[in-house]
Amino acid sequence: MNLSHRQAQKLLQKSLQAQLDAAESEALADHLEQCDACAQYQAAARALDRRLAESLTERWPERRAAPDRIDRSLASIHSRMRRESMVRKFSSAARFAGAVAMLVVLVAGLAWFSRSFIPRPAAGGPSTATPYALLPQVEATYTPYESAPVVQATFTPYPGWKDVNIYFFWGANCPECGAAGAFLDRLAEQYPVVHVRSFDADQPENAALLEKMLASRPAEYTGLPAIFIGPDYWSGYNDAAAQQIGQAMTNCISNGCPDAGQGILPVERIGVDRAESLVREWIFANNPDMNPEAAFPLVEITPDEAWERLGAQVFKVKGGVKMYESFVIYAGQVYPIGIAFGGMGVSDMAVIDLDANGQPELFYTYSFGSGVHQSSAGIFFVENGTAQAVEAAGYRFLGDLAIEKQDDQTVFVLEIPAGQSSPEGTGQPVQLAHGRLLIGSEAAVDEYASERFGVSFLVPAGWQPDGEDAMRGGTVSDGDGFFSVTPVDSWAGDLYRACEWEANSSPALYGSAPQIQPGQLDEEHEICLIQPSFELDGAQTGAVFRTADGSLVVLRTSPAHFQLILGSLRFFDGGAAAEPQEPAAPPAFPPAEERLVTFSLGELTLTEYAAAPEDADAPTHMEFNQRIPDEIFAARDAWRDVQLEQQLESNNQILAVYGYRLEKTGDQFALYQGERLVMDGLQHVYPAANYLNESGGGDFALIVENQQGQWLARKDSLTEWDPMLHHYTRPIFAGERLITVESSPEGAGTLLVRQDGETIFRYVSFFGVVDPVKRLDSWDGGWLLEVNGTLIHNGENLNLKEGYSEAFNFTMLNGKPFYFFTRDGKINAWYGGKILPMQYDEVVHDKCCEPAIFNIENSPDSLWFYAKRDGVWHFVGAAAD
Amino acid sequence: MQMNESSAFAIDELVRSHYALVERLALSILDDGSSPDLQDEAEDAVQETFIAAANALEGFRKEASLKTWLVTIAVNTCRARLRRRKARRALANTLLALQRVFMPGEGLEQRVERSEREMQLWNAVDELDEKHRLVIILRYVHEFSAGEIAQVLEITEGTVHSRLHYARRKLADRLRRSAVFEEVQ
Repeated sequence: MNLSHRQAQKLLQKSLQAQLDAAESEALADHLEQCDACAQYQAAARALDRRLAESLTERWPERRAAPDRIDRSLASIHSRMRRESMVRKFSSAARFAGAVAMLVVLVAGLAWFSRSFIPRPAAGGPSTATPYALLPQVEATYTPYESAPVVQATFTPYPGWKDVNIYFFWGANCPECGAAGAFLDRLAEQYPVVHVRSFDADQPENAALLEKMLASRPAEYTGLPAIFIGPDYWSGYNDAAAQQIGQAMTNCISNGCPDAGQGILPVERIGVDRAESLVREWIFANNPDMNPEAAFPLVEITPDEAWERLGAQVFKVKGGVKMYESFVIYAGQVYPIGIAFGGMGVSDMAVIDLDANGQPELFYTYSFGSGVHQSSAGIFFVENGTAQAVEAAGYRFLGDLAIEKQDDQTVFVLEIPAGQSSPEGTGQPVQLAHGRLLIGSEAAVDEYASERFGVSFLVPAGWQPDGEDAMRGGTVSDGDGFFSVTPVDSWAGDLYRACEWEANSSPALYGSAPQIQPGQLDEEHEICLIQPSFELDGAQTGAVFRTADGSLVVLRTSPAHFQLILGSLRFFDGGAAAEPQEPAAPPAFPPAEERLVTFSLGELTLTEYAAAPEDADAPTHMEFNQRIPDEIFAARDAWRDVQLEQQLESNNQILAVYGYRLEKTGDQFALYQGERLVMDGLQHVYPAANYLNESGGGDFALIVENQQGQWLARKDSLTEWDPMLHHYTRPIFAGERLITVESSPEGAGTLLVRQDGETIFRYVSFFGVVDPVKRLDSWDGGWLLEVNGTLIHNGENLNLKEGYSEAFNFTMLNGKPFYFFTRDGKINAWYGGKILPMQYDEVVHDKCCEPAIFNIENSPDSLWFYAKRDGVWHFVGAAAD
Repeated sequence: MQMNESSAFAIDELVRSHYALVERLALSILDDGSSPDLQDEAEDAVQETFIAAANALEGFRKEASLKTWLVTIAVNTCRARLRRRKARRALANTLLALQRVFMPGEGLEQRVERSEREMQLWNAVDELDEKHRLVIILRYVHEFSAGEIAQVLEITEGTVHSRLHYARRKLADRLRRSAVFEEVQ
């Protein structure tokens, strides 16, 4: 049975949790023997499988339950069962009662609604005086309208609609006021989210309010009625105005508007029900994936002062998914404050006027963090009619916080260390400066802005310039500190490769085993952090990110100030955006008879088959293979066969010198020393490394694999070999020395190159699931390591030396080194000391998972791969002459 | 169901013999990194499971093993809970990560011991959607066979294989992109 790659992978996956039958096992073994990519896939799948089993059982270990815990649980179970059986007895009666109660609430609600918002004719018939009145605090009489409002008996809730307040100022001597009032009332009837707030402008206090509202509107006032909706305003009323008002209102209902009376008129305090519906709306708008059944029951925690001075209400979720998250509701808008995840959320609040601008703010503390319980603080403030919550980005405290307010401009946070019940110390001062909330020692900071890179951040006060975009300073409390921002060479296109190079650039500063952490600074900005190793964490931390124009920069800081600086990093608005790319011309795809081209390049003969234009297909799709004619693949298959045979042959040539040999019987190999069987049942044999000295002596190194695992066979020894530790590389010889690569015990991301067991080189790499280490090989009497697109030759970074943004697929073809490299956006090859101008735009390589099938494959004198040039994907075979 | 002495005894037996199993199951399913009070919630789920089992004990017809049957109830109970508090992932907040990385006294030894890679794997598992996370947990934590998982989740064995396949691929992908800015406990 011949398997496709996909079938083989399916069987591989199945073999991880079930026995394959004999036919399946045989077919799979056949396929794996032929297909290196699938063998690698198998190794990766098995490694993940082992890792999952080990790691997850460590996370949730098996343990015995203590008898007293079971007893407590049992008591609880019995009591709950008794309760539940009582509940069940009454449940049918309860359901009926519930339905009745619901009906009563609905009816009462409707009655209240119509009383509150629908004007009614005055008892005793029409009056001649004032046309309209609504609000209870305003004494007035009113006339009935031409069209008496009809109360709708039922209305459906309107999820997603925003509340809209219409402010309506009218007067006794205003002919249009009656019609305007009737019109607005009809709107309110039809749209339960619309609330008309009416004011008799003849009353002095209402006239003063009108004046205030007009003060912020540029349009001219021509008399009553005056109608305000969101940002819009009408003086006078006619059909055209009615139409505009209708449009403005529907716009505000669907999109939300700032409340026209915000900051001028007292807002109406909302109830918990209304708050729940607003918060729910906000949560779903911001988390579209949220389970639609999730509930967010709220409890109001508004301090009196917050309502009185700010007109803001504060609510906290009391259960469910968003447990303890808090929200300010201000002028009908929802603002989340603090983080509760894993903690208790908002813990203390105070109303202050920290910036002394006459407009008070709500200062709050909150706790979060399920692993490390910690707290921080934030401030909710209104400026120019817009409200926002700003959190103290750089300040965290391990424990809880309380607020001590001395006066309106002086407030402290009291720190209660974890495990204690009372505050420690006298409290940390709080400041609002540089557009940020600053607490404690952060209060003594300066803002640094770099025009060159379009970024700004905070540094401790008193730091002095130390070259371009660099500063240095020191204080008694936090020691000598510094930062510098420098551009990364423009050809290093990849953020993480640039980060790796930076981490490896100065071992003295980043320590022996720094860690690279990729992440997001915010939604737009990717960042790669370099954390120095533990024993040397006094030296330097680094961060690589892109500026607005797309260029890479590295920000180096003293570790003690990394948090302040990175935590306050902001990108200027309106920085140069990345240049829009010109739309590419559709690729010219050759007709069938011109698709196969064979040509010589240096010592290689290349066969390129144009398989598909890039807009039609890509070789990372499994089905792409079907685009390659069988006769083209035939050459590849021949290479593969040669590869297997050659490998056995070349291994035996090496082994023969030392009196060893490999024998193949059926699917398996056996290793013999003379007539002595060293090991049989070998499922895999990897290429042997060899060192021969002048006198014909030396040593070999051969990795073989049987069911127990992998083994390193040498002239005089057979030892266990951990393929994962060695990143699936085999040992090689550099001269007479055995070279290996392995992970440092200090951190998997730090690789150690060892010579006869002694570390001679360290390299810090970004460690994802795809192993960063691609190859370890001998070259020119030395060693070559390929890691994440970087080539290191005897400790020297070839990318940096040659200006390659990436270099990959180092291999020996006919005994001469070959690799691909990217420079100036084009991919060429280097073979036997010469550059071969292949001019590809892309070469598929180092892919994970299914696309891995299309990774570059080699035999000792040929390689085959998928590459794109000028918008056309090719299957390419390259054979050494 | 009427509580009587014999059924009460049966429940006690059931609880005593299977408490550890059900508790570990509940912990592993509910612990997706988003529960503020995991222990309490797990204990609650354990009780719910046994109550549901007790109520259904008479209906248990030994078509499945008692263990598989109980596991099915526990899994369903926990899934209902998960749906109620659908996992919210900790925000990938750089500042929090920075804080954790550089926080003095945060247990450096612990950090060294529990390697970054391990946390990445755990986080990646937490991020799987429910149906794929469940098969991974049942397979790797509780060592159920594909057949048992199929029985518990009431799906075919083929579906179990394909979910496991998908989940592993997803894990490999996630790990590669490795959100390191996750909580370090």
